[in-house]
Amino acid sequence: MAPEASEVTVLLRQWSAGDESARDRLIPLVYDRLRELAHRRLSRGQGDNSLNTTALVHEAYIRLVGAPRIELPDRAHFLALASEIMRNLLVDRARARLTEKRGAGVRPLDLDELTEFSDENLESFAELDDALTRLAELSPRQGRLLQYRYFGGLTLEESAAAEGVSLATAKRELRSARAWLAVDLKGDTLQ
Amino acid sequence: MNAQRWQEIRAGFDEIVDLDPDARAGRLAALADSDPELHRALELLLRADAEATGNHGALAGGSTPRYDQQLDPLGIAGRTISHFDIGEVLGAGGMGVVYRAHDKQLGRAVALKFLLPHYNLDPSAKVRFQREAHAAAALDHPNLCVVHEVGTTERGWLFLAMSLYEGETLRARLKRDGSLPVSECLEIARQIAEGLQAAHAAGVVHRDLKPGNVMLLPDGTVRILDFGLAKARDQSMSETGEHFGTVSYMSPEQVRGDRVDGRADLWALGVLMYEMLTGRKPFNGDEEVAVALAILHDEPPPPSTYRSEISPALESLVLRLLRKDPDKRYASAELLLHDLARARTLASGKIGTMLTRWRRASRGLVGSLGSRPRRVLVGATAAAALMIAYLAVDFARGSPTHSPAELAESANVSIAVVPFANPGDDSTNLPFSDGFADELATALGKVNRISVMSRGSAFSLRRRGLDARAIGSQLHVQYVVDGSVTRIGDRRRVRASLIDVATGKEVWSDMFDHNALKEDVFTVEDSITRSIVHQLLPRISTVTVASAKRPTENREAHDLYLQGRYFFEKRDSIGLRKAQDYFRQAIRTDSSYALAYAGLADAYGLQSNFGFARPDRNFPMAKRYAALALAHDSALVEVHVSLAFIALFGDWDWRAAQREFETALRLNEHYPPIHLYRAWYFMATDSSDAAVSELRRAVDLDPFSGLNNTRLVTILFYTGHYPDALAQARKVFERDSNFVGLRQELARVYVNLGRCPEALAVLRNSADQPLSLLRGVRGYTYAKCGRRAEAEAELNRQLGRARAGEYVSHYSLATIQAGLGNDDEAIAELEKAYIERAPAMFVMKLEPVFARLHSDPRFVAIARKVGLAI
Repeated sequence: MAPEASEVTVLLRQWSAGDESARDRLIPLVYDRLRELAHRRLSRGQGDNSLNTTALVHEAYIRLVGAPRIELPDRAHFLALASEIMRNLLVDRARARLTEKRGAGVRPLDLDELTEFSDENLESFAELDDALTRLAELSPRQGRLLQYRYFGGLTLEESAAAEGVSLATAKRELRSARAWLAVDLKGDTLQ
Repeated sequence: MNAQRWQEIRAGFDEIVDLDPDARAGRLAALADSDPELHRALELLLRADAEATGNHGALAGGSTPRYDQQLDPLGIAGRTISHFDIGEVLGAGGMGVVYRAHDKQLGRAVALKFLLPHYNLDPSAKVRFQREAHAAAALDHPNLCVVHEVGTTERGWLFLAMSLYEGETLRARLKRDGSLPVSECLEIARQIAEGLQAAHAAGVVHRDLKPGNVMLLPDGTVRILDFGLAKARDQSMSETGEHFGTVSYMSPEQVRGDRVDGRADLWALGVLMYEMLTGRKPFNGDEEVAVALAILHDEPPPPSTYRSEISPALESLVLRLLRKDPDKRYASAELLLHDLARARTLASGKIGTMLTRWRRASRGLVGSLGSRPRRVLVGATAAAALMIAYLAVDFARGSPTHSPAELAESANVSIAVVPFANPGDDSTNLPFSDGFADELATALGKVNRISVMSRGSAFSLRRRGLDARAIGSQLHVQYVVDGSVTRIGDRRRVRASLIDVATGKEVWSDMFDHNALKEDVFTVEDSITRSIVHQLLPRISTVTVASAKRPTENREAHDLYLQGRYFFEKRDSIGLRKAQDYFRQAIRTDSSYALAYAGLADAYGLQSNFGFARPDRNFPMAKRYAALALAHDSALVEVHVSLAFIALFGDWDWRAAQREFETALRLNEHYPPIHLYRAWYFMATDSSDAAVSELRRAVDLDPFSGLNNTRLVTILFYTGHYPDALAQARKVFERDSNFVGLRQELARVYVNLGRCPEALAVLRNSADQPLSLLRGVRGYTYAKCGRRAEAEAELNRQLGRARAGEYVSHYSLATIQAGLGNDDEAIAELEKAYIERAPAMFVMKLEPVFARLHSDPRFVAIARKVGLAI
């Protein structure tokens, strides 16, 4: 079992019990582990240079939390946090690499591809990040829900738990958020 | 848009999104006038929603695979069972579900494997499982998974507590990386073999070795999981008629349901090695049945088809593990380990890889019809041969218009390769920049007429800080190859230049970008080496290159072509059909690929020559593709051999065949298939001596080709040289007694020497040979050796097949009838053979069994129609 497990578990519990300082202490632990995992995936020899964000976030979860007897809200909080960190990590990487390869053609964004981060869809990740930032200005929770989905692969239940809302609410909000995103990514604007 | 406006739009969306289409349309229509902006926004959102629900409707529900939900079939995650705190699911497979768990008694983390609930229903399966599990638990070896405990929960579920290994399975690794570095593959194979050796010694066979059962630990250790558990599973499944797991790793004996021993694990290891090396499975199919059939019947393409750096030793090791007959595999893991150690030693030296690649490239391109191309180059000096191969690869000629001797005589060129610079001293580039210069020097050194200055001197001069030109003049070479390797992000940029030392000028330079993560280093080396030689050759000799076109620029098409050639060389019905598929795919990938068209034409033609398909159907197709090949490249020797082949066997047009042979000879007289088929032309035109010497020429050019050697028997037989034919047949027989058609050739030679017992003995152990020319030999032998009843039975068997719709050449039926003395029937069959345009018709005059018919006017008439002088 991972050495940090107990610490992470305790922090998670404190955080989901309302202690926001626990979240701040959690961030570096999760960040380091995720970065390490992502880095190892992306830099390994002759691989296909892509990574599955969902798998990565869950791997981090298993490695950091280990004990699966953790309650749903705690797990949801962890995954929500991890998805945010994942997003930052990937978007940083995407932007850094994009500046290297300016001039390369931009591919249309396909949401279906977006659980796999790879060199081929750097633009897409940067674009998605922009769009989610815009959505978060209009509706912070909807922005987060999409972030959970695309960068952490949270289930509806986990998303609802992470936001402390009912399943029905999470579902409803996700649906319009997703429609907004699709419209936005096509370049259309709603008046 | 601001947040408030979005709230309004959202509310509208939420309200109507779930309405039925009619109601929704009504609401929308009402909005169109009152609030056109909202109307437009909602329309856009609803359209997006409709698309999304269709495409990724799972979004809201979370469709991603999850450890905790999808894969907790026992619903026990987070509970305590027996003395274990159950964690999340680590994996699930045919055998059961594995959970991470904490052993409270011993205070350690374990992997807890539960037998899937439906096995628990069967008490006898339970007993077997326990027995097997206990046997497995007794195994103690660093490459085997440690089993701590075999037990039963309070609910009666069987479980195994195993050591929990942090790491990943070989399956995950292959999925991510495709193939593995050769050295790593060898190391993993070694450890697996060590584990197998220990288990087999204890009498435990794994039976289900597959990538998902091989754990790669971070410290480099390999552990095999689930030893011995498959047996209980398979038994309980076959009893309940259930479905096995993947068949991909099953040995032929397992597919057949035969007895299985440790050699089945060796087979599975062969499949694993094949997959690690090539990133592909050796046996493929769209569905399991097809895979199973492929396991039983197909030979896998040699791994080097996909990855050229695989050494012949390693290749033969892998293919030996994949022998269908367990007796032909390694008898034990121990013997395998011995060869693995040797392959590792060989693999550690890089020398020769480039050479191997060239040979392989030449194998596909220079070799063609009717030879084992590996031997095409015999007779010339190895270096000159390589040069030919080189030109073939590079300049799209089957070969240049120069003989090897001419090449060898022309002047030498001296060259030095200096170590490539590594600006910025990026240590990750070092192996690449140094190794690259090294490989390039080795590769150039293999090209005739290029003498490469020793690597050591160039390296030491470079260390002394001399520039490329100075190094060149110190070493008294004419040219220097210099270059640099830089790294930009994940890409490597290789810049290479060729410097004329006398003038100091750059003769050539080029840049190659290479994605370090994606592309094989060899690809880059190959293209650079090619370019350099391409630049050098026109400057250093009188060699003129008729065309600068390559057979194809498309790597994928080239690969497909090589695979096609591989199957083509098998010359059996399945091989030829597969070859057709690959050639077609190659053409689809590069529609101007003349060699692939020629290959397709040849495959059609040979199918008929061998009696797998009706000639009157296949030769028109062959003609069509040969014409396309000619249209795309009229200067390929392969194309003209295809045309000659069709003219001869398909059209019985001796003059056209002669013309094509002459063109082919002008293009490359050393191409063995020309001589192999030209012999038949001489047979048709009554020049027996020329026929024999032509075939001898083919054998000289390609002395170890079973095909050429066997055809020499055929020609000696038809020209009446029975003792020579016998001697030749015995020679081939000693080398490969099962060569296609050889036993039939031998049998009919014996018959004509009056040695019936030997003829019958030779045929006794032989399968039916596919060559239509020889299909009648069995019946004919019986007939001539006084076994009339058996001859008639054979005749009836063939007639029955023909009635069942199978193509049976009337030519072979005619030989049996003639052997039985049924002259009228024999003539009737020959008439039909003429109508079906049986390729063998033009040897009818030489067929000993028809000798008696020569005075029959009907026979003469048929022979004349075929175009034979009689």
